[in-house]
Amino acid sequence: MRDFNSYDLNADSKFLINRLKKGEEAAYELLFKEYYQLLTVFANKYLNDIENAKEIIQDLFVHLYEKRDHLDINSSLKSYLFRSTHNRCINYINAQKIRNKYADHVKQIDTGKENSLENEVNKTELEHALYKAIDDLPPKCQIIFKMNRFEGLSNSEIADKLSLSKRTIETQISKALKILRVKMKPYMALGVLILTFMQYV
Amino acid sequence: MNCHRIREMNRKKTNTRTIARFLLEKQDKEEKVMKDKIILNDEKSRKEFDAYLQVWERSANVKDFEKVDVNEDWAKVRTRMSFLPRKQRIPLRSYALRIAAILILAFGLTYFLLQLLNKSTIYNPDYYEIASASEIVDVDLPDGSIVSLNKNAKIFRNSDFGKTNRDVILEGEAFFKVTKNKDLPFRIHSMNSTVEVLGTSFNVKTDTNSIIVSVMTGKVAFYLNEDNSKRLELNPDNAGKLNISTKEFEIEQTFDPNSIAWYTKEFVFRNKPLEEVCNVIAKYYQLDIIKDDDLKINESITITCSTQSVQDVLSNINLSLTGDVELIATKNNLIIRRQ
Repeated sequence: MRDFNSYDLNADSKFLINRLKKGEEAAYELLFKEYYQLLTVFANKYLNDIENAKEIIQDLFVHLYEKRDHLDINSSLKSYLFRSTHNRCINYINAQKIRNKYADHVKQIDTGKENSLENEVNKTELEHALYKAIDDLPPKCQIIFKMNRFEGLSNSEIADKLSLSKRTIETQISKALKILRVKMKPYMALGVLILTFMQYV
Repeated sequence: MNCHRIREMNRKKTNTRTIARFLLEKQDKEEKVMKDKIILNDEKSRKEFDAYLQVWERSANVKDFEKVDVNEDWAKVRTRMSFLPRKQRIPLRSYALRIAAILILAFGLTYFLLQLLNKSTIYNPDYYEIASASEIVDVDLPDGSIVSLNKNAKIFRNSDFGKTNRDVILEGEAFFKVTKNKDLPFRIHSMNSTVEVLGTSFNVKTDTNSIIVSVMTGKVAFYLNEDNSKRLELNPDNAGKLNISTKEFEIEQTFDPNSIAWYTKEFVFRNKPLEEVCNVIAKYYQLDIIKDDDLKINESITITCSTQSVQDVLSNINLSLTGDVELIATKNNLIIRRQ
């Protein structure tokens, strides 16, 4: 699994943009596989509807391909993609007249505060990094951790389901925590995690 | 001291496990007390605890990513983008069946299919495909033979390879070093022809217009599937070319070792005109040749050198030139000019 810094699409933006303009499938595949999950979850924060979020992002990529001759990207590809996503989501919400489904932080973005959009993007990227770190855990560890954190099962429920002792569950969770803490260390050093943690308090 | 370190280690173990337990169970009075104990005791432990807590809390919020299947959705999206058809990897069995489903006009294909079906050893669900992409890939076959795949080439073999058969299917270009086995002829199939060998080393290059076989050592038979009386027998330093559309064979009496420079990593020029040498080098390194039209070059070159660096190759050549011409390479061009 690639980590946060292993492939810097920003650096290769110009090169990639050229290939995108030429309509090369490999370039679109690369871009999609790098950003689709991230953008979808980001869009979901606006829409609270994962299936619609997927459609919007898929439309975004198709549109990128169809209008490739007129591609005018001066900043990085990443900013372009996030900004497009933001705009599409806002448009969708306005069209659907479902403002009341907004989460509070999204309302903040809507007021046009530049910082907030960037913060939200960073936060989503951090979550993505955490998700990838969880997905990379050794199998037994991963299953148990996901059952608890994703599915909300308690220690005893997991122990029952998997026919393991509570102690084993504890061991696996503690193993997961150790690995994840190490992997997430760079993000904590940046202060981003602290910032976002505060938003939870 | 040993005791101190063991105590320290045990404490660490207890900490993480305790933290895990704490996080797992609902917070009750007892646990809370223990947690405070941990925090109060040690600033370092407190930071550690905070880090774990953050990771723990955040983890629940990332479950949305699980709901997004990138590969599945890419398959959906790419059908909406009208890309030019890419060469698809097709498992051999459905490939063969697909051909059977279409009425074949080209005899060669029909015959090839019959050959396939007749050879129960090839028509085997356990077919292995090995492909190269942007690197040269060396493949060790179970019989001890070695196949070097040039870039973007593919070879198929089945699970019985080496036991009941030595048949492979080739797309692209590869260099073969085949071990001797008179009971199992090594055969390389492409769309409409077969190359059969006993124990040799040779190069096979397939593309849409032609198949070129160059023999380095040993002996090779090269024939059409539809009519194997029409065959070329190639000796070392021979190259045979099959034109796919005309189904005609051509033979080149002198095998050009530079045609497999990708494999040997060496250029060999024996008394070759400079112009030809430049063409070979430009083609290999994918450079455009720039030369003054009125510049006449009459020299011939005899040289053997490694292909590792185009600069080295050219300086070698320049050293051996007697006239006032020199060769320069830039990123995209090979320049021939007066000194």
